[in-house]
Amino acid sequence: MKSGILLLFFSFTLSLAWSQSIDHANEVTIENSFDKKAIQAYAVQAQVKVEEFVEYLNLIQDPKNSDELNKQLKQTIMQLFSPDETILVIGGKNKTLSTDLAQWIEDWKHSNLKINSLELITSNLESSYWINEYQLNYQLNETKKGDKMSIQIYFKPQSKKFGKTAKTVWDFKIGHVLFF
Amino acid sequence: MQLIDDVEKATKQRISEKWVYTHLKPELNEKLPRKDMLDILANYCRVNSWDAFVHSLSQTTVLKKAKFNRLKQWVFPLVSLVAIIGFFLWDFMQIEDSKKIEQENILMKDFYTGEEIKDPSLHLFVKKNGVLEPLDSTKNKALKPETEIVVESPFYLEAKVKKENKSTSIVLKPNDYAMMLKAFIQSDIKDWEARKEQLNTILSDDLEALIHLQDNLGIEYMNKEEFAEKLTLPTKAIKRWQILSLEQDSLQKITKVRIKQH
Repeated sequence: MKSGILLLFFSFTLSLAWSQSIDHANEVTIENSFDKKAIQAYAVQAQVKVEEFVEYLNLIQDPKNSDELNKQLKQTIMQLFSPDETILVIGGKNKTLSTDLAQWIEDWKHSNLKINSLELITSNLESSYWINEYQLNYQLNETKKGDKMSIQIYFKPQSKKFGKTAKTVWDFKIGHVLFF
Repeated sequence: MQLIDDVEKATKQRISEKWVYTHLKPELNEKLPRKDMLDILANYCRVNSWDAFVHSLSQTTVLKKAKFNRLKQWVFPLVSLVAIIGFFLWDFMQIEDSKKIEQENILMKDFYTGEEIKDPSLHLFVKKNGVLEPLDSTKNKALKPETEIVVESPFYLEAKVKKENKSTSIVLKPNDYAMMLKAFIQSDIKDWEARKEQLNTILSDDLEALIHLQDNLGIEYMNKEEFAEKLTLPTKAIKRWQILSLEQDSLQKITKVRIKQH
């Protein structure tokens, strides 16, 4: 009886491990979906998303902006982020952790931190995203400073609506942003 | 006989009449002359011996060869240089001529302004058996009159004309919505509200925007909302966009746009 239960337990464990390995093999990752050259091209495009994000952050801090323009900029920035992921933005005002992107943008708009330049240091590819580390040169209360910034850029197949039709396409979205 | 006397007078030695007839007169002579006779003739030529005469001949040949080699050192490179310059001049003139042919033969004009269009996005085709083949505009002289030429560009409506005898003039109507899109890509933040409204008008709800990445290694897809948002507030990256092709519906709304990311 005991040996029967043990056999049943082993066979269950084995089948579970086997099904998990199949799931892992079937997982859609960037690496198993594109060749090296294409991944390199998409990595460059991921950097473009970060550069656009920083450009919008600078634009939204212009005190001459109308409320309508700031609303549009805020919407555009939010569009860059993934709606499905928990967004972590650390830094900005008092370097606090924030999961509320809209509030973080509001705080950023009124902060005295202005980004001057951005230089890519490293870019690490994971299964469905890149973690890009940048040297961030900024100005805080007229004092020039330098720090590092880490940004996660997702690249995953997503269902996207093109009018009445929906297609699954690979899409870029920013995940978390860490200002050190 | 004058030669025999003259040789005798000059060398104090005599060559026989028979020797002359044997060795000098015949067209073909298989017999070798004796060396002492050759020495006499060499003395007549004011050379010590036949051997000395032969030696002086070889030296003259060497001298001539040396002179020729020296000449060769200068003349050949000079001739080559002249030939190369000549070739490049000829080639340059050919290119200039072909440019003239292009300008002379196919002239594209704007329908409204009448001004010449020099847009690199213009592509010329020739229709052969119902199939469009790209036309090398430098070779259009070879085209027969009445050949159908098709002009395509994302910024002008398609035009078809038949080649005329001398120069062919093609009038192109601008594609207004495409021109607007081109202008929006290069615009700054100013007038963003008007641009947003115009984008909503010219873009179809079903729009598919395909952004071709570097070396055509990948494509990013955007829908109307995303694409309009990008063009409402164009960033530096957007300003590097180049429109490759456009598709429009019956209302001229843009349904598909292909863009190259530079």
